[in-house]
Amino acid sequence: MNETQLQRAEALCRELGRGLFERAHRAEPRFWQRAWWEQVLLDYVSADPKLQTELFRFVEALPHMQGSADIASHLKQYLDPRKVNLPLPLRFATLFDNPHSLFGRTVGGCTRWGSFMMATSFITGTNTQEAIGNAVRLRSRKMAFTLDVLGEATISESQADHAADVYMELIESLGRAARDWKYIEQIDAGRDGPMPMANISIKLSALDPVFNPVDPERVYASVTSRLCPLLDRARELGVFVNIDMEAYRYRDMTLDLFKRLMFEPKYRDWPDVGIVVQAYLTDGEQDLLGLLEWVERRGTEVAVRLVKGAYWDTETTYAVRFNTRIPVWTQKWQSDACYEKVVRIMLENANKIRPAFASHNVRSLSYVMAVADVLGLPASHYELQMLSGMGDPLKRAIAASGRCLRIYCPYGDLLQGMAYLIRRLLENTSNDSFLKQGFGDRAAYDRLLDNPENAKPASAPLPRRYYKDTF
Amino acid sequence: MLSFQNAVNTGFGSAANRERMAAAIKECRAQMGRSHMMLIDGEPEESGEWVDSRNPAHPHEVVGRVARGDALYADKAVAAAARALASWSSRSAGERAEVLRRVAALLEEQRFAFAALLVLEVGKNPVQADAEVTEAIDYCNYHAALAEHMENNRRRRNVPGEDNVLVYDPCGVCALISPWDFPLALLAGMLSAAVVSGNCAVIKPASNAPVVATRLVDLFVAADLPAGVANLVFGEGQAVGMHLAEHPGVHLVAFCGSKDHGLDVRQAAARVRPGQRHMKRIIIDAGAKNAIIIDHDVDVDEAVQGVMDSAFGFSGQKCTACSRVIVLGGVYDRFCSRLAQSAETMKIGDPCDPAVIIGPVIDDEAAQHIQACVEEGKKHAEVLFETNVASMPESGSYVRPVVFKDVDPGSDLAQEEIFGPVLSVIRADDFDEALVIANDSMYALTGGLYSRSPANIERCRREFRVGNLYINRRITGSQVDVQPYGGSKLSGDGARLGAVDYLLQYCVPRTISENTIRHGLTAVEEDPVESIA
Repeated sequence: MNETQLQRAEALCRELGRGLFERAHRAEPRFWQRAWWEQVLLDYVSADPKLQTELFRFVEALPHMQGSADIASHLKQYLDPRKVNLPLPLRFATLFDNPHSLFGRTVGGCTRWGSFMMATSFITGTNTQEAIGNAVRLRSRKMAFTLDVLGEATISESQADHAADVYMELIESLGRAARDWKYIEQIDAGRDGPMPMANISIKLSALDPVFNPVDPERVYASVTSRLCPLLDRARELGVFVNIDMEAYRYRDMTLDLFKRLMFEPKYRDWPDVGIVVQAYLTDGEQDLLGLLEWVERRGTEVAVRLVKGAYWDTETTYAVRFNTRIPVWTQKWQSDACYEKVVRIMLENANKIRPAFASHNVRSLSYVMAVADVLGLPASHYELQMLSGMGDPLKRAIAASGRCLRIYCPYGDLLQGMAYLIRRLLENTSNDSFLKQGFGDRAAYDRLLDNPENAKPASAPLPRRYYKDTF
Repeated sequence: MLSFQNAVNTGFGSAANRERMAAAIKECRAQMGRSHMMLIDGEPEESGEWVDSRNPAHPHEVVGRVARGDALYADKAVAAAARALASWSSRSAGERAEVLRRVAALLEEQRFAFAALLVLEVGKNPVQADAEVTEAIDYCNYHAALAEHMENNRRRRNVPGEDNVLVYDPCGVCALISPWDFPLALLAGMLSAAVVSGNCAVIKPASNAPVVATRLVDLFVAADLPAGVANLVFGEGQAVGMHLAEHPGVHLVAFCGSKDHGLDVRQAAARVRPGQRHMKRIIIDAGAKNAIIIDHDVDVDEAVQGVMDSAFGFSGQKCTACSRVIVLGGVYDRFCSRLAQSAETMKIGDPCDPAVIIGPVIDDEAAQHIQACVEEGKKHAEVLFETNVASMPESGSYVRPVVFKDVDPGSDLAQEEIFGPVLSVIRADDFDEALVIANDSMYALTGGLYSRSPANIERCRREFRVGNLYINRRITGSQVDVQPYGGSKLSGDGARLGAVDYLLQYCVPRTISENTIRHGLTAVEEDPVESIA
């Protein structure tokens, strides 16, 4: 893009952004809706970092507790008034002496129910049928979807087999269900014609019990032995498959595996696959350039989803802990700026890849649309993506603007989903998060829509190198 | 504040680093089989007799051969150390620290070469070998920083008319008897602590890992450590190690190894011999039967991974390794089945491969001992997991990893150290019982807890009496300075390697008081120096 185009994009971004804000504000939940109460609760909790930590720790442990009395007992331990300032309702809830008492068990039961309700706004069903039902509802609201089976790393062959089985079931059911779906121009049109309506995302670490970057050859053999049958069936049924990106230590292995496998003659001419680039990585731009170069050699396009990345706290903590290079930008504005740079490169190359842009940041999303408009790209040449349960008013605003919006919908066992849920809760309560700020504050629009290069606001400080009090 | 930073491990997720490691192993192999003499008073010494050090993964490969020493050489080395003492101990801590910093820099430079040697001599995989090099570097830099800090921050109590100061002198001649499980790091820890405090040392390295010791001592020489300050004598524990422990010219004995040998050394060193005019300092690190408690409210997969790492890294041949896992009734069955399934995924084979978890054990004798323990254990407990024979390499000192379940907490399986890839799962009905079982051991080195209950975590902090307690993480892999390391009960006498406590063991404190008033003439007052040393 030349200088004039950049300036036009910047101006258009602000204009589109204000429009999104206005629309999103009108769609914000009202106090009779559950989402409103959830936001109030999250705001309340995040106002006190100590309370937030204890509550999130409690939620993290919740699926492993055994029964209502056990939940009540843990709640009382985490919400110890000697350690945290408890708001009145929570103080009342922990008044019981015996977790096995009727009151104790009632509190335990209610806590479980409440947490489950909260989780269901991020997690779209506990089984394939529920998830597909939810996907159909999204389509009726002119939003596309991608389904993901919840689960982090597996540690045994049988777990990995199970993960592959669940994905196979998903591909079969989704492929069959999609046959009856009606084509929707706004979300199903691609650059060169209709896109697959069925779309899934896979985490490779679920497909091998020792997903260890030290042993890439064995991992390649093991993962592909489970992945290839899934890919083959997905291709037969016309299901799009995206390979998700996880923590930094898996990045090289995941990218290498994707590139190597998709170069195999069997898959080389298959365009309905995708990979992820994380803009919070300092070498996020390099990752994309590498993919572009590879796509040219391959000769068939793939989809590329640009995200900021969800493991910032873990990456910085471990890097500082073990004195290694911090792989991510340490300031939020740097990630945002990197994101925008990669947005430009991706859209400039929209004839080689299928660009997808995931974010909940109004500035980032508006910037994508603005750059696309300036480059004269129609909505069918790219898509925007958001997570289920996050920033719903914004989703409605984007869908209403006629763009293709895809919702990332994880489903499955709540236990498997806890790490996912915690990442979402952290995101929703982070001071850097757009979602926390609401859409109604018109005075804040300009600030929120400012170019990250200008803004350079201070982000959360890095974890301390060490706490040493003596020698 | 202490100026010390931990060194950084190599990331073997990088293909370039894996290739560098493979090249280093190849290079090390090409130079294998050389003869190494002892070092006494800066001069190489041979005895005419040689002992081979073999690669436990390929016993036909001789990693190096070393001169067989005996009591006479030990005597000679003690005399040399005693002669070097006056000049070395008169140097400033800063000068001595510089030697250690040069050693650390050389180790960093030759990181891959040292890791390769560890792979070939003791059968550690490159990831663990590299971490051991890091630890060795850390001990050198840490002890250097600490010694300087102590000298520059002496404890002073200068009251009007009188100056009082506490100074630390070296003990004298130190006998360092080092182990083979961390033949580089622990020797580096002992030797750096000894020499930086102004002592002179006689090293008797483990018979199974003499070449690594030779290479480390070479670095000290290259770093300009004067002749006689570090002497190296090879030989059998009985012939040389015990002789050094008994020697009236030795002032300090540091031993790391098995409990029985440790107790023998301690007893031998305690007795005052004719002509001996001092009590010896004795530092013993010996034996362990480390337990991890698994609470009922944990993510079982996370706990299983932590236990696997702790129990099977370097085939369980670490004093810090987990050999007992105490699981609460509520998750017992789930934990057992996940553990068994997960154990199936362990890669077994040549430790040159960084992904191999189970390599060989140190030698055939160790393999036979472990096998005997397993056979005996099978009479008393149920086997939860055992690798099938077909997946084991044919040559080399390999033993099959085994997990027992429903182990009686009082049985030999749960009480005696095995030092191999053998894990016992014990059931506990409640948390009280789990704690009782965990503490019911003659050892107390490391221990662990996986729990999501703040109350139970707090209780463990108070009541789980081990040298190093790890909560919700693996119990191996302590980091210098971050986690000072050492045990109590029969595991050791409590010296903390990686903390000031350890360095103080190598020192004799002296308090010096001087009356500063001379016939009414008072000295000009200096600013008081704050110190906590």
